[in-house]
Amino acid sequence: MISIQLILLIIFGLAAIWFGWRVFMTSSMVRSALSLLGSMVAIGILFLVMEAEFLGVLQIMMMGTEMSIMAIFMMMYMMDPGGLGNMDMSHQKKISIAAGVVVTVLIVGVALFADWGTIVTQVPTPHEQNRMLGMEILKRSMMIFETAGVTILTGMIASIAVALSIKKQR
Amino acid sequence: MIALLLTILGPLAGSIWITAIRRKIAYAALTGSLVSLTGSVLLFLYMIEGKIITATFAGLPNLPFRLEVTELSAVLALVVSVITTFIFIYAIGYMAEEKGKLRFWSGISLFLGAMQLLVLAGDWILFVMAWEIMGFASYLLIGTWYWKKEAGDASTKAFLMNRVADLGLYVGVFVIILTGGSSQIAAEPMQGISMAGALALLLAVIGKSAQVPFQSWLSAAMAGPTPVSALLHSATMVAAGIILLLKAFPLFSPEALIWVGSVGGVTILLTGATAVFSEDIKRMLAASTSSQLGFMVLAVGAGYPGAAIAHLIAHAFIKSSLFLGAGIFQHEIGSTKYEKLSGAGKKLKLTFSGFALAGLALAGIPPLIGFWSKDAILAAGLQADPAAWYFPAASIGAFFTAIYMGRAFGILWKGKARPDETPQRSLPWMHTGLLTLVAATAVGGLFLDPLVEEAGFSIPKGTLAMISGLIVAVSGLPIGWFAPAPVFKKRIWMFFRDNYPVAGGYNRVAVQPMLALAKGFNAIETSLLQAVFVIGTAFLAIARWLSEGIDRATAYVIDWIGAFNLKIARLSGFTDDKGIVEGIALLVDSVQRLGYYGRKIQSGLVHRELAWSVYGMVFALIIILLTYL
Amino acid sequence: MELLITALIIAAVLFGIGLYGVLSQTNLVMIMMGIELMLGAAMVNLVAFWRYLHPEAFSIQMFVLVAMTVMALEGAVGFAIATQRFRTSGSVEMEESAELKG
Repeated sequence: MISIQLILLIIFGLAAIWFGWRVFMTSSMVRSALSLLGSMVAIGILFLVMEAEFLGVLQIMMMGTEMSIMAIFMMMYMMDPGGLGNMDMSHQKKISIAAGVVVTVLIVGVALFADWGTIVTQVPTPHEQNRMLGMEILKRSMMIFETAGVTILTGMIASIAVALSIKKQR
Repeated sequence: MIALLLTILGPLAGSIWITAIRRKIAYAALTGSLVSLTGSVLLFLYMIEGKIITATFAGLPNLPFRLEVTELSAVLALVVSVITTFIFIYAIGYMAEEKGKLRFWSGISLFLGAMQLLVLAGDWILFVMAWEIMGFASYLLIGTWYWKKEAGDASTKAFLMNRVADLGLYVGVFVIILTGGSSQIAAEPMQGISMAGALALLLAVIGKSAQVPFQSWLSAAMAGPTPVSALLHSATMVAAGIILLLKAFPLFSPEALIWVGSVGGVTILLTGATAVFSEDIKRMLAASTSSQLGFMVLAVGAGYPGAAIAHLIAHAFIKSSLFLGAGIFQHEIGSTKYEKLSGAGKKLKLTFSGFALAGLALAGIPPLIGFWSKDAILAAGLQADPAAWYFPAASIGAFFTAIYMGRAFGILWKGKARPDETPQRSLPWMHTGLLTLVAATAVGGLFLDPLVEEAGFSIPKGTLAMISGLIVAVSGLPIGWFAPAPVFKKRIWMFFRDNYPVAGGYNRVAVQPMLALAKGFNAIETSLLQAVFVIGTAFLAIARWLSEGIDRATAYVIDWIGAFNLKIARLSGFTDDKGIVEGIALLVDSVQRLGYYGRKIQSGLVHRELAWSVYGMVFALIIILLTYL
Repeated sequence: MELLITALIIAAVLFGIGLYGVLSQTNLVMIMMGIELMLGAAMVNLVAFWRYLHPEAFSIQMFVLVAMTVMALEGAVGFAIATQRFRTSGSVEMEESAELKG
C-alpha cells in the first residue's frame, strides 16, 4: 500500500544515501563535511516521517552543530581542504568496495527474508511519546541514563586531557 | 604306757643328747640305758601281774603302728636292757682312752633304742623300721675307728650283706600283710603264709643272724670295739633274726620249718668248724656266735621255740661275758691274735676266771646256765619229727663248742706270760661289767626255766639229751685243751678258718666286679660327654658359617639394590633433561614462531586493522545467520 | 510491511557506504565521518523497529538516545586524538602511522 509515509520515506532515504555517497566522492573537505550534514539532516527527517518527533528534532539539532565543528577540524588538519589538488586520497579500494557491498547485501537479505511479524499502525501522539519517553528515562532506564551521563563526563575529560599539549622545555 | 616310752625313748634321748650337746657323753649314754632298764623292769612287773599293755598310733592307711607288751617281749626287753647296762659300764672303762667316743656312744644309744623298739613292736612295719635302724647303727659302730682300712671295709661289708638279706624281710612282710590283711603281729593268726613268704623271711634271718651262707660279715665285724661286738654281735642284734623267727613262728608251715631247721643245722656244723680252727680270739667268738645262733634256728625249725628262747637268753649273757673278757685281754695285751695272747690268762687272773666260767657255761657244764639251754635244744632235736639228723647235728655242734672253748682256755693259760709293759688302768669299770654278767651266767640257770615259762613257752626236757650233752661237753674240753699250736698251717684248716672262701671269697666275687662295672660306666659317661662336646662344637661351626654366609648375601643384595636405584635415578634425570625440558623448550619455540608469523600479518596501519575487523564481523554475521536458518 | 522493509534497506545502504568510507579513506577525519554514517544507519534501523513493531516500548528510543550520545562522544574524543596526532607528527594521514607494527 503506497502511502504518504512510504513516499516520503523513499524520497528522504534516497536523499540520505546520495548525500552519504557524496561525502566520499568529493575531494574537497568542506564539501564532504557539508554532505555529511545533509545526510544527517535527511536521517533526522526520516525520524520525523516515522513519527519519532523528539528523536528527529534532536538528531537535526545535534548533527547541525557537530558538522559545523567537523568542518572546522577538516580545515585544520587537511592538506588540501579545498580539494583543488586532485589527489586520490583512498587506499585498498577493492577491499573496501567488496566489504561494503557484501555487508549491504547481507543486511538486505536479512531484512527481506526475516519474519518481522505484524506491523503496528497505532502510534502514540508526540505529546504522549514525550511523556512516555521521560517516564522511561526516569524509571526503567534510569541507570542507563546515569551511566550515559557519567560516560559523557568521562569523555569530556578524556578529550580535554588528550588534546592538551605537553609543554617541552626547549 | 609311760614304761613303754621310757624303755624305747630313754636311750634315744641319750643318743640325741650326745650328738647335740656333746658333754658327759658316757654318763649320758649310761643314763639312757638306766632309764630303759627302769622301763623294762616296770613292763616285766606289769606283765607278771597280768596286764597286757598295747599302744596304737597312726601309721600307714589301714596299717596303724602298734606297740605290744606280750610275755615274750617283756622278758626279752628286760634281758636286753640288763645286758646293755652292764656292757655300758664296761665300755666306759674300755673307751676311756680310745678315739671315736662321740660316734661310739651316740651309735650305741641309738642301737639300744632301736632294739627295744624291735622287741616291743606289735606290728610288722614298726618291726621293719627298727630292723633297719639297727642295721644302720651297726654300720656306724663297726666303723667307729673308720680311719683304719679294715674297719671301713668291714662296716661296708656288714651293711651290704645285711641289705641283701633284708630284701627277704621286705618280701616276707609284704606276703604276711597280704595274706593276713593287717600288719599286726598276732599270736594266733588266721592262716599261715606261703612257702615263698616263709623262705623270704628265712633269708632275712640268715643275713641278720649270720647263718650260712651269709656268715662272713660277722668275722669281719670284729674290727669294731669290743663292747660293740659284745652287745651287737653276740647278744642282741644277731638275736634279732631269732626274734623274727619267734614272732613269725605261728605263720610257718611244717614244710617251711624243715628248711629252717636245715639251715640251722648246716650253720652249726660249718661255723663250729671255723671256730675250732681260728687263730684270733674274737673271730673264734664270732664263729661261735654263728654256731650258737644256728642252734636256736634249729630249735625253732624243730618246732620248739621255747628252747630257742632259753638258749637266746643264756647265750646273750654267756657270749657277752666272753667278749668282755676278750676285750680286757685285747686292751691289756694290745692284740686279739692267739699268738700274742698265749699266757695272758696268767697275767690277768680275774679276767681269766670270768672268761673261763662263761666258757664252761657255753660248753654246757652244769649247773651253769648254758647247760640248761643246751639240754633244751638237744631235747628239742630228739623230739622233733626229722629227728634223724637234727639231734646228731646238734650233738656234733655241742662237741665243737667244747673243743674250741677248751682250746681257748689252753692257749690263754699255757705259755709264758709276758712281763708287764703297761700299767693296768680303767680296769675297775671293765671288771664290774664283766663280773656282773658272769655272775648272771653262774646263777641264771636257776631262773631260766621260770623265765621262759613267764614268756609263755615251755622248755623241752629229755634224759637222753641231758646225758648226751654232758658226754659231749666233758669229752670236748680236754681235746681242746690239749690241742696243738695256736696257728694251723695246713691249707685245709685255713680253708675252714677263713669261713670257706669260695671262688676267691667276698672280695673277688662281689667287690671286684662291681668296681669294674662302675669304671666301665664312668668310661661310657666320659665318652658321652666328649661326644656332646664334639656335637656342640660342630653346631657352633655351622652357626658361624651360616651367619657369615648370610652377612655376605645380605651385603651383596643391598649393593645390587643400591646400584639399581642409582641406575633408575640416572635414567629419571636423563628423561627429565631430554624429555621434559626439551618438551618445554619446544613449546616455547613453537609459541615464539607463532608470534613471529603473527607479527608478519600485523602492519600497524589503521585501515588494514579495520579491514581485518570487518572480515571478522562479516564472518560472525554469517555464522549467526546460519544458526537462525 | 513495505514501510519497514524500505526503511531497513535504506539503513543497509547507508551502512555499506559508511563502511566503504571507513576502509578506504586515509584521513582520520574521513574515517570518523564514515563511522558517523554507520551509526546513523543503525539509528534509522532502530527507529524503524520502534515505529513498526513496538511503538509502546520506549526503551528503544532510549537506545537511540544512547547511540546519539555515543556519536557525539566518539566525535569529541576522536578529534582530540587527531589534534594530538597533528601536533606530534604534523598530519593525520593514516598511511604513515605504522608505529604499532610489532
